Amino acid sequence: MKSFRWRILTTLAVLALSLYALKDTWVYYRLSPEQAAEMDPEALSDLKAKALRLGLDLQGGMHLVLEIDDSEAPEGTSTSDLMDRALEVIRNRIDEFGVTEPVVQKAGEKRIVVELAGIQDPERAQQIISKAAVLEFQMVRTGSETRRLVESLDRALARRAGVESAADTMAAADSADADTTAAQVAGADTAVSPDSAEASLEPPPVSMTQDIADNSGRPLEARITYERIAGDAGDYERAFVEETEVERMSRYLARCDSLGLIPDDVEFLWGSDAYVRGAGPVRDIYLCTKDPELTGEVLEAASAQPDPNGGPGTFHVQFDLDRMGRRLFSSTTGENVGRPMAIVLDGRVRSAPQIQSKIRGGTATITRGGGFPLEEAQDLAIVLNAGALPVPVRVEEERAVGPSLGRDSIDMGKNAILYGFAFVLVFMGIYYRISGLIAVLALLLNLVLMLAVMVGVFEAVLTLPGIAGFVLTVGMAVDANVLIFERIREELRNQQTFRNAINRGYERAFRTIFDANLTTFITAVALLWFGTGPIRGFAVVLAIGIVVSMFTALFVTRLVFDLLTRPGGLRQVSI
Amino acid sequence: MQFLTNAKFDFMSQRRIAMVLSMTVILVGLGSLVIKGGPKYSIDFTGGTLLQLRFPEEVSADQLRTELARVGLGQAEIVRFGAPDEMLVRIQQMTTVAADSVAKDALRERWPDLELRREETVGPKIGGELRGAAGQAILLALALILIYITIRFEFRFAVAAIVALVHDVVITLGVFSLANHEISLAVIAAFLTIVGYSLNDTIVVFDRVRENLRIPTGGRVYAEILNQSINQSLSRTIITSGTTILVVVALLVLGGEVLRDFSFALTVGVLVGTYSSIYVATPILAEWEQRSPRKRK
Repeated sequence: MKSFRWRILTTLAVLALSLYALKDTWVYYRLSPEQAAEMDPEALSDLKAKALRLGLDLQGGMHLVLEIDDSEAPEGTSTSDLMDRALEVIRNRIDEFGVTEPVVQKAGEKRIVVELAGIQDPERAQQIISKAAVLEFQMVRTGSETRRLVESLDRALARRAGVESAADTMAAADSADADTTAAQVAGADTAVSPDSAEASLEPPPVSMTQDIADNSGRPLEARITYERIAGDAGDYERAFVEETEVERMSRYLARCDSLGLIPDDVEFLWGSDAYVRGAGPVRDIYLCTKDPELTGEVLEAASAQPDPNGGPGTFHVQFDLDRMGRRLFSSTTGENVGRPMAIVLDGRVRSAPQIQSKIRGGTATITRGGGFPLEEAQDLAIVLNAGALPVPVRVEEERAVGPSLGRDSIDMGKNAILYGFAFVLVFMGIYYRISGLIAVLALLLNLVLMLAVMVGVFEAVLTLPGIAGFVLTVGMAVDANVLIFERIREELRNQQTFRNAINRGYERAFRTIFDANLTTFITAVALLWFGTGPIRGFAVVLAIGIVVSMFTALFVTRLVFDLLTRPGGLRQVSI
Repeated sequence: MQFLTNAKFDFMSQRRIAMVLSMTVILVGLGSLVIKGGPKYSIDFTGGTLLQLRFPEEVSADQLRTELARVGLGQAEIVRFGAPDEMLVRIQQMTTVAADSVAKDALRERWPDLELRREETVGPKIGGELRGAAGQAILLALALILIYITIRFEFRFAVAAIVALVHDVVITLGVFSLANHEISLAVIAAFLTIVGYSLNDTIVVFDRVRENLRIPTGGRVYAEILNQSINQSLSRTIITSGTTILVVVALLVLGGEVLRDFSFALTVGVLVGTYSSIYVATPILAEWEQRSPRKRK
């Protein structure tokens, strides 16, 4: 049996290679938190990189699929340019947020996949990533200009309602139309929409026609309250709307806009927060010049600072402008002393202070009534520093798993493998005796090799379905040995010697095992092709399990049998 | 220990009974699918939000519903998930984009120390794409298998194997509908695994048939060869199915709630897959032979 030497060597070499491939994994996952803290961070991250990677569903983390919305991108910009810029902005934001080893990559033409492992607060991260963060400084029009426009809009609306109320059918169509507009506005979360949640709470709407009649043909003006404010640089006016009426106002304004009633150079913007005033909450409304005086591009650095006007522990976001920004700011403020300037973030007016004099220094702040909590101010500073997204992004898919669930899943997976293995061990031991134990030994080797191939060859990620793949392999991988053993038993019944029975058993079972495994392999490949994330993890484990089990069940167990029954060894092995 | 070493069961004569049994189970399942208006897809395919939440105290589904109804999400599906303080909230796709954060905010107002253990939100677009991809994967797998078996065996073997696979998946789908389980991405993965497992089982029997057909027949009828092949591999079939069922049940019991639907599909699939190799795939060969006998060399 001179072939023994290379067969033993092959087996030992494969085993040694596997153990070597798993060495870092073993060391890494046995580190206690204290030991990990003591280690040099670079060595630790190096070790982690070489160890088996756990999927987001096991270590906790977030998987986001974002889609850019280039429907309103300026003419001539290519989608791929927009994507590149969006990717860069998102990377910058994540870097500032401080996540280790983030994955940010393109998926297809318009999608970006973001994976953040071990993140504690997925909601916060999602906010930071998907916030448009478009910062603009816009001049607020005067109270009399606002009044004039509102009056002309009211007249136009009343006129149209008067015409349409002539026929009931038209009125019905009108209200249906208005509803869709509102839904679209709410969905897109543009400047004139309140929080989308409120949309779903709205009682069945009174038709616009009815409402216009109820308000004696002044649906807008009836809802706006003007207030004169005495500023240091002269009086100016402010306008607000009761919070409960904001939704309906938005709808009217959206309708006016779609009818082309609002001049192109101005727009209505809402304040970012409602505040209590008199009987209930109200929200400011501003008529602003559409073209911004400055944009976030001239911003140099933003940071969270204690808010001197807020309560203790509150913050505002302070930002400095670059040289270009300072020059623009200085000339704009010089020309507009006495008028309020709106600081607009993502289409909402954060604040609109009156310009008291020409401002030469380049510092401004964003705050809200009562100031921000620290975390919110920091997050805002992060997105402002990283820059605005070139186009809005929509979250198409989000999967987040908290760290505690991940740990639970690992424990459950371990248990399932352990018990499954124990069942198989007992079962095979009773049914096939020593031969059964040899098969179980091969199974154990199989699991080790599978892990090693995952780490060493594919650098694959272990997911929860992947663990299920391991469990399933425990049950299915013994099949090859069962097939062989049954053949051997048949040969023994045909009065073959034990040695012959083994040889013939292995030979005759081989073709069956090959065909059966190959077809299973095909389905694993189909799964790999279709699957996303965790499902892929399952398919990888299944495919590796099939290939590896062929080696352990055919090659390794054969070697064990041959060694046991070699000349001078055992006559036979119980089977 | 050995059993069934000299089994001489006449499986082929029972094939009509088996056919009636299979058809009954399939019809019951399909009936359930029709009544319920198709399979119950998870948010992976319909779009929507799934929240797995751990509360600081024991809570009831009604309590959650009250809070969610306040923000217009009263139609959410709410179930206890394993522990008494853990709940699963499912919200199907709706017009408001941010249903997930609306729901979380509403619940946090009542339970500030709420732990969000898992969240899955899928937009309608991705849901549709995943549905397409799942269908394609299953079709691709079946096509590849058809080709492979035709090459390695005969065309009729390939057809018989595919019919058995479809049989298994349709029954599992029916059982899912009856038991009110959801079809998620993981369950589709389980279906493909069932396809793989059932096939594995069928191939083992077919391999015996192929081998026995090479032996000069000596006047034996085709059905006898089929019976003999099943009997010869019967002990293996039982052992392998046995070990697989053991681990799959271990997964079902110990694998946790997240994997429950997946393990359930596998359990049903392994049982049905074993049955179908013997009572569906092989009988089809017998019926085929009756109609167009194989040319003997």
